[in-house]
Amino acid sequence: MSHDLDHDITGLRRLILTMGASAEQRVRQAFDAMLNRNSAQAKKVRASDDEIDDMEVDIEAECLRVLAVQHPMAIDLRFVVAAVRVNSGLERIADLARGVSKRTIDMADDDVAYPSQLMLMTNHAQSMLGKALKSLADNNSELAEDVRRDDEFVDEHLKEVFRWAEDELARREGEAARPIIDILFAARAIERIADISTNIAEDVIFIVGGDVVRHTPVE
Amino acid sequence: MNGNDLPPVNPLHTPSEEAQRPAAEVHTEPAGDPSTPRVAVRSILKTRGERTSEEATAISVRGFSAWYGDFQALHNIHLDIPRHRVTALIGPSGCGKSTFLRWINRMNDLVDSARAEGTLKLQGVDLLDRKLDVVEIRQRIGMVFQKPNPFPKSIYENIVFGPKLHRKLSRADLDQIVEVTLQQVGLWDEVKNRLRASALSLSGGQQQRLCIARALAVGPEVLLMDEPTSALDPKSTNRIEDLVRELEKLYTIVIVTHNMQQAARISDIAAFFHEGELVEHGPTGSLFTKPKKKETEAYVTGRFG
Repeated sequence: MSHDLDHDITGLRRLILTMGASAEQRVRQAFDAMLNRNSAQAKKVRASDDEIDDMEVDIEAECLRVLAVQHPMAIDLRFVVAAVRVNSGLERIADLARGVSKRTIDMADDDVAYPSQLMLMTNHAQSMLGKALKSLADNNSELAEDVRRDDEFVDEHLKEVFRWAEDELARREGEAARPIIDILFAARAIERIADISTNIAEDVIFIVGGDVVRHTPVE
Repeated sequence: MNGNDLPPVNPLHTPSEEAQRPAAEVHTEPAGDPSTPRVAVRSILKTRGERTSEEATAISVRGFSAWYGDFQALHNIHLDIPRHRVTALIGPSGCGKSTFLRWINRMNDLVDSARAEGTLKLQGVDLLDRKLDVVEIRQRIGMVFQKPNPFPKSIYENIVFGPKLHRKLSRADLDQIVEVTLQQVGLWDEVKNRLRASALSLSGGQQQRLCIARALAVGPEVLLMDEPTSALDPKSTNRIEDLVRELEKLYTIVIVTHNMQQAARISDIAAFFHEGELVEHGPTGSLFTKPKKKETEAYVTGRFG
């Protein structure tokens, strides 16, 4: 049993990390396209979601199979349960990357300069996703704690983008307000990507030590 | 974080948290259902005096060590076995869990080389006291074995054998004990029309339930079960597991099992033994999802043993 179980857990881990790499690539492309106002690249991201959706369905089925067949316990059980959550989180991240790309396409002809906080939070969110996936790959709960701490910066940046948007909207009317709304929606999606990356990091902490930190403030 | 206007990212979060709560409560709330009629072999027998109902601990084990000759099978065990709960003893073969179970009702008296130190008390009574009548201990502490071992007698005779040994009872009392105990193990409807048939004519699962009924017939407080389902098919195993959960309301149950899922399903407390040491014990839910010790983790995940 032990051999099969190890085999299944390793296989599931590989699937999740592959899905993570795909989602991460999607996010990188979407962010690059946004920052460079590259609507051709944004369109590619928009068109490429099926693969991730299929992976999500397959991974969920595999999690169910491993639970049913192997009856995993302790760290293995925590891993499979966390895998179900991470899987659904990654699919959501890929969705949000598509959302950012939609705004990028809409903003193609705008001439409103991005607020600097948007660029900062974009970099943070991307690095958080990368670190969350690395912490998952290495069972590294310290790195996962790092991701949780980073989330505060992104939240702060989002608030500043909101303040910037309030000022901008006060000075604009009608069509002129649209680019600001697009930027707001993009910022919102980026913040959600950072949030879900934090959830993934929290799942890593759960896998490694069994502690549920979702509702515990960061030290 | 400003997530009020968007749907939750991961719908799995909420249900999984909620699902954990009742499971955690199982271990803190008394499992006994006060509305369950207390089927009372004991009141029919009108046996011993008051049981100490306030006592949460049935069997208290302190600094208990056991030897077979020079071989030390158990090292300095400390454990409180809670009353009216199912305690599962788990661990790889040779870890000492069966030895421990056997000391609880003095089965090891039959082994010349066996000796023990420390204390092992049932409701304050020192079970290691050599002056104590072993027959009385076994009346209070019943045992069910791996393989069903009914006497080669009738179903009826199997049940009344113990009660007749312990005291004089009328035919009507005996009939009632037979019916009550067979009801308790869910065998009554299956055998009520052939109580005089040989116990050996029953299926394996029925034989095992008969053995449990036989153990209950003398009105024990504690039921020890040494891998009671390892020789049974899945359906009979399910019936025994359901039965254990029912009997918990009336008896303190200690069960040795090699089946990890079974321990997870039916026990409230799990105790992991390894190389004669009690490595870890605690609420079953925690032991199987978040064990504290590396050895426990390795064992429950199937990585050794």
